[in-house]
Amino acid sequence: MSINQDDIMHIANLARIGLSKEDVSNLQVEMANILEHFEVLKNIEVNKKEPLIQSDEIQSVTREDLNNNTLSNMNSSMLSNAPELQEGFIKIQSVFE
Amino acid sequence: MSKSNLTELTISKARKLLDKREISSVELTKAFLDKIAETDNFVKSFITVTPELALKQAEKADLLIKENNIHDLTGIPLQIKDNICTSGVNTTCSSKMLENFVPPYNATIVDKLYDSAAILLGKGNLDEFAMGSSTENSYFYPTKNPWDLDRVPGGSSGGPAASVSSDQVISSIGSDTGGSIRQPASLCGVVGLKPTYGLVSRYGLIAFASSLDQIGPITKDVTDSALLLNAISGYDSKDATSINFQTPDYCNYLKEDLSGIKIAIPEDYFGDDIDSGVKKVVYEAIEVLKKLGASIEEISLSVMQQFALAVYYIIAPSEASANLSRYDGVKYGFSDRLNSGDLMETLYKTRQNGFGPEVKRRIMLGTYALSSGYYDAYYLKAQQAKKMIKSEYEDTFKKYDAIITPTSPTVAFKIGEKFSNPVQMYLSDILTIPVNIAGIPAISIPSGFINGLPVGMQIIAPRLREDTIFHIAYSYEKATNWSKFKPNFNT
Repeated sequence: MSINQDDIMHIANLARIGLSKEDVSNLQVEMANILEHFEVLKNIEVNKKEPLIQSDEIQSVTREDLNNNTLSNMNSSMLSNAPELQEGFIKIQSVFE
Repeated sequence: MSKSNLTELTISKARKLLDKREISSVELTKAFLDKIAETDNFVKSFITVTPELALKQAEKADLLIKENNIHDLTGIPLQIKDNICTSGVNTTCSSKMLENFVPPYNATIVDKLYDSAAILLGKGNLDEFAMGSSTENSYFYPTKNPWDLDRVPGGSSGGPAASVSSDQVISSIGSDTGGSIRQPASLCGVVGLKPTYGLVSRYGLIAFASSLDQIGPITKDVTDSALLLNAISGYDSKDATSINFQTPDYCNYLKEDLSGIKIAIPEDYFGDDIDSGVKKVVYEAIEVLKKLGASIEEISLSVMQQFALAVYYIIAPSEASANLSRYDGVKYGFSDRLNSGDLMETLYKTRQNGFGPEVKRRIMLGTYALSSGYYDAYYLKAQQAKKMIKSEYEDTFKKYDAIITPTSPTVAFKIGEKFSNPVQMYLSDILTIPVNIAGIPAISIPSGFINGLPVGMQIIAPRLREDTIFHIAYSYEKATNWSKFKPNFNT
């Protein structure tokens, strides 16, 4: 599977990762090498009749909608991890002009 | 008892001495803190050491012991891998992204360990976000292999494996997504268990690939592995994939006689890509199992041998690309906003400069595999192959109790040897990743040496049959002496 620099830029954009020119050319080579090892999957027929993820493996977990007060105890320790605070709120750059 | 003797203790031996009041938890904890201070400039297995917290916990544990309020781990000093959340103690994932992150809560397993009054000595180094097989991807520094400081300890739980091997801690807790407990355990000559998916709660384990990640113990011997699994396993409503299963006392399965046990040896996993010295060591180990009464038969596991690597390197990066999208420089973690014009630029720059090369590579791979036009060719096919791998194991376990392979294709390699070649690095995991894909348990135990470097044997069992793993591993350990060898590094 060949992959060109535009592909790399497109994926980086989807993943919201900035890349330098050097990153782009490195990734192009590295990803092409890795994708080569995925070629073996071409031999696999996907059976679309049967679900691929078995439903008995995972079941939804629900709980009572109760306030157990753990969040309010964590307020200050959670906020102290924020990059920037203002009056007890997390500060971000403006979304709209 | 001298200090060096104290740090050589296993959990079960320390337990006896603590209970008989021959040593105190404070003494034991101090001996380990001293050992860390003496050796970690060389080994580099810790990211954070927590001496004040540890001594405070040890004093408390000594009081509990005095009151005869004793659990298996009361007063036992441990390390925890730095991708498992510890309230109030930095949890970095060895990433610049989380360099200053202080979790507001404990992972479930940390609560469980604290409930039994275990002691936290600190947090162990890893490949950034647990992505890697050598610990060279740590943002901070690579950990060294105590058997040869020029070599890697394996990864991603390289810190935990190296610290157990060098007697800096009694035991450590790691995480295993594709071999990250077993491969470093093998390369450092210690015991590493990846439990059944869902047996140990993942709540508070910082997510890499959620369908594959599992927490497990890294220990000096098999008994300690069973003791730690007893402490950390069990249902947790905070983890949607936790199994509601009545866990037995795993120590009941530490038996020596292997008669009646049927073991399969997959010839596909003893091929040309496995170092001949490693194969020789593991074949010798299999002979020991035979003498202990196990019956041994050769089989083939050709499906997984052919597809597992591709399946893993599609599924794991795909899940990682989704899990790591939360690092956006807004709520917590690194934020590259000083010279950024707007929110979008901050987002791109935060992820460009906050993640290391391997993490970015995997996010890119996963994003690619999930992107429009490639989803059917990669992700869907990988899911189908995953199903085929699971059935191949299920068919094998209809006839056999366990499967044995080497844990790693080679002994510890030199620092830098595979660093610039991602595919070479990924191949370090070919023997361990099929186990994660199928969600079943496996252990790596020391089974010999090549030129002074440890070799591990991997024992794989069906879902929730950790009992079988402990039975086989314990009898082998009793019949041999490998767990007792210690690295002799100059400090």
